[in-house]
Amino acid sequence: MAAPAPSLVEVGLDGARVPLGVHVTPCTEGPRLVWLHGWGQDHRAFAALQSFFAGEAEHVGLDMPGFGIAPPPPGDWSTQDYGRLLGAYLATLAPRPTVLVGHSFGVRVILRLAAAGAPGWVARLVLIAGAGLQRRRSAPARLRAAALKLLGRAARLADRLLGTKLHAAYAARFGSADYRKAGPLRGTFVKVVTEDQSDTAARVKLPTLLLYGEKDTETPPEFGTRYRALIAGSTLRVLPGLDHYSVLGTSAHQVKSALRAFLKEGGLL
Amino acid sequence: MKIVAVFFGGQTVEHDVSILTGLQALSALDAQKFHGIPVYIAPDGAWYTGEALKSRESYLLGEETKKGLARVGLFAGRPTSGPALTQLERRRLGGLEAKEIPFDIALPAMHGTGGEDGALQGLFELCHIPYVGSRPLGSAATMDKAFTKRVLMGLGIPVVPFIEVERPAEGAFIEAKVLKERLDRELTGIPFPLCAKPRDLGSSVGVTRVEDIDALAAALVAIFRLDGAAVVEAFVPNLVEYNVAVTRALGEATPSVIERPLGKAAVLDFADKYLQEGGKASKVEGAVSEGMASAVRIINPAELTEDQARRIRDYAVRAFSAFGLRGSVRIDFLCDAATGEIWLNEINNIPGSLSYYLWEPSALKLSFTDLLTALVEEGLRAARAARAERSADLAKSVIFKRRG
Repeated sequence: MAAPAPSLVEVGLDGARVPLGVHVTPCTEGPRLVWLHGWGQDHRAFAALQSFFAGEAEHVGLDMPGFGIAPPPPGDWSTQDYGRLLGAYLATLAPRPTVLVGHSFGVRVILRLAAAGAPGWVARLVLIAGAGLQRRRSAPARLRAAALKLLGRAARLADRLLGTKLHAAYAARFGSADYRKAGPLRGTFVKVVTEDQSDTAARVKLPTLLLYGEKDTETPPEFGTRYRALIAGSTLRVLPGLDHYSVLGTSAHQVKSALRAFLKEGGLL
Repeated sequence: MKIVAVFFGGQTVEHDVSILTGLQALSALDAQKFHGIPVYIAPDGAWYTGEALKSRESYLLGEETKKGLARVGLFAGRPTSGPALTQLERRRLGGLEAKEIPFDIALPAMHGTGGEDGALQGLFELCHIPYVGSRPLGSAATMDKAFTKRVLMGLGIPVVPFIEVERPAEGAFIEAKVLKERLDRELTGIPFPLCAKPRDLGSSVGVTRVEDIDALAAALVAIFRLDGAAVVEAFVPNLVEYNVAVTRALGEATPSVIERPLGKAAVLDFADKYLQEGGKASKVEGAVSEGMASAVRIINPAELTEDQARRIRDYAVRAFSAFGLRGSVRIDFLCDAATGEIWLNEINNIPGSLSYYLWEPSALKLSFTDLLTALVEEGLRAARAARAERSADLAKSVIFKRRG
């Protein structure tokens, strides 16, 4: 499959123009598949999956603000903001049966849009290793998290009052890799990871396929079980041997198979 | 839920490649329909099963890993009460205890000696175990490149002129004079360079281009370390290789898309096929090579004329049918880019990665997962058909009374 031509599309949102990375592989046949990547990734994360549907669907790979070719958002965005941007972008497209496919953070964005109301031609959702729920932690783990949060606040306070650099040291020691690497998106990152989208998911009414890697430690299959209960008309597949990233890799054969079956079931292929 | 025992490894030069194919198959099996159990044949010949064998990090097995695994085998002398691995455990107070690990069908992800040459398939037959892929006859026949060529010649399918050279009874060296006489007599008019390869090995192991008679004698010494015989054939000038897979798991024998593998050297050798990673060679150990699946290739290459592509598909399907093959079989062709001539080179009855990458872009749009489902179902169908043939009642050959 030839690489799609990259372009930055300015999408109107709240009177401003927000640049979104859009990578279209045109195809007159079949549905339109819109791909929403995970945190720290871009549209290329879906290359293996897209190529399996080459010539059968139009692919629209997005780079959300702050990722890939798209500059950071104009502030500390929440997933609601990303969801509204996705909605505003889809509104510029010609109607065509469309499936939104998201991975991890991309799932959070899709859920926001789907709960708020996607265009009528969005037919189905595919949520791969979807994030957006808070982990059920053991009591000691909860205690540790609370203590760390307090320590972080204390470090920030000391930095402000005493001019120390304690918070940077705290982040380096206790912050997650994504947090440390978030750069200008750090404010967004904190908003994103602390949210819980249970209520959002409960408002989704579209046929939805939930795919989770059995070995996923970032978004464990338990998330899938909870989303399955929250989203009416959803199906859950837990895939043995796969983790948070290998669900998109060249070895994601079961994902390809499930995706094809799901599209066929919806009369889209 | 059917239990699929995936066999891989083996006492063969293709042991490591087989691990890749085995692990790929285990991860691709449709978890809604099948439960895969690994059966790993270590280089020393010991068979193991256990969950740890599903992780790439476990290879090759260390002593610690082995402790968590079960030693198993197939016991041909056991009454036929459904397929099962026999697990042998040493009793604390002495003696051996045998346990059974039942399964429904075997999926050999084996390449080369012992696994692809009909030997393992023969054991499956003897133990009444349904299995994926070709029967012993087709497996053995296609493993032998010289035998394959003779059958193909009978079908009128073009093959490159060749001679078969057997390892001498003593040592591995054949004098240049003796070789020259055979070449003059049997490969008349075919000049150097020639191509020498082991008769029975796949994965391009030991394939050598030789420029003169002395180089041929030296290449044969190296080949005879790997194999009891060699095939020496004309070296195709302006060589381009094309491969196509064939299966009849979905009905009629059907060809896949055609690929042109992109090798660096004149001959696609083992390093090109299996060690290539991001454009440069990397080690199989620890690297994330996916074997044949990660080699670089062009699908449905534009330079092939419609007539060439049709001939490749036609020869492949005819060869597949003539050898009575099953499974996903890859058939390799050689082409002289200047003249457009095409020769069938070899038949891989259990190709690396089961050639799934040729089925994904085919008209069937088969994912590896769906390919495996089709292959397992084909194997189960074949076993049901074979079961009928064994009944003496049905064959009206009863002489002795059946008691009990």
